[in-house]
Amino acid sequence: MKKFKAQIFSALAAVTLFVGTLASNGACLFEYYQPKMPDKMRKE
Amino acid sequence: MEKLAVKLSERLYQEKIIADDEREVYQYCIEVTISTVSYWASILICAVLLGKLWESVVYLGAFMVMRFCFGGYHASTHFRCALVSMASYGIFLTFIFLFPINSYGVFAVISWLITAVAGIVFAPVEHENRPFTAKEQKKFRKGSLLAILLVSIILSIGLALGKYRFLVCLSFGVLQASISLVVAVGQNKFKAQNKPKTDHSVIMEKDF
Repeated sequence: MKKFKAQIFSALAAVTLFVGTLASNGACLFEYYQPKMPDKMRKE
Repeated sequence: MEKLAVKLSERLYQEKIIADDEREVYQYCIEVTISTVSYWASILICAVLLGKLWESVVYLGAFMVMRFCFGGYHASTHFRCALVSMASYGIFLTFIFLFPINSYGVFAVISWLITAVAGIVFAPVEHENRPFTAKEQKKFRKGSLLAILLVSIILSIGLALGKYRFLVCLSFGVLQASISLVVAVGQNKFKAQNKPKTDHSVIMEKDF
């Protein structure tokens, strides 16, 4: 059960990171709200 | 949504899936994912219930691609964002339901003209929460011009083939992104004009 939970959380982290990276590569998000982008996500 | 993102990123940290210094990044990513998924889900549920699925997918797809390149207006809260999104979608559905198909071609051409002018003059526009680097500015500018070119090609083919229903859905998405771009430019100008003066500028004025 613990392993399954860890897998679910890992999948969640991977999916959200993918969407976040995709969003940070565009001029803006697709909908009408833009949370503040962390400096660490910016490309130099 | 922000609170949920904070809680989930905290949980990921507790489960030792992410490191301490990654929490901020994951919080942003989770917030973005939740807001994107809820936006798509709410619109697609409405689309299925009203029997306008493919029209809504074309409309949303066009809007997303243009907005990804153009940038544009953002509401100050998630709630306002949801209101603006649903209102825009409502206008699109009203048009599809009420207006005759013979007006679609004219609408598509007018939308394209507005998009081309707005895009060439203003795109891309940045938001204070997502400032651009010089490289990104160039990249989005190129992307915007390419997107306009792509829309022009699709519009020409659609008009030649008489695919007016498809064109009106595409045009609505594109037009909405252009209006959002123009609103954002106006908003940025207004903010710049009403920005409180810094101590330095006050001192300079006193000197004069």
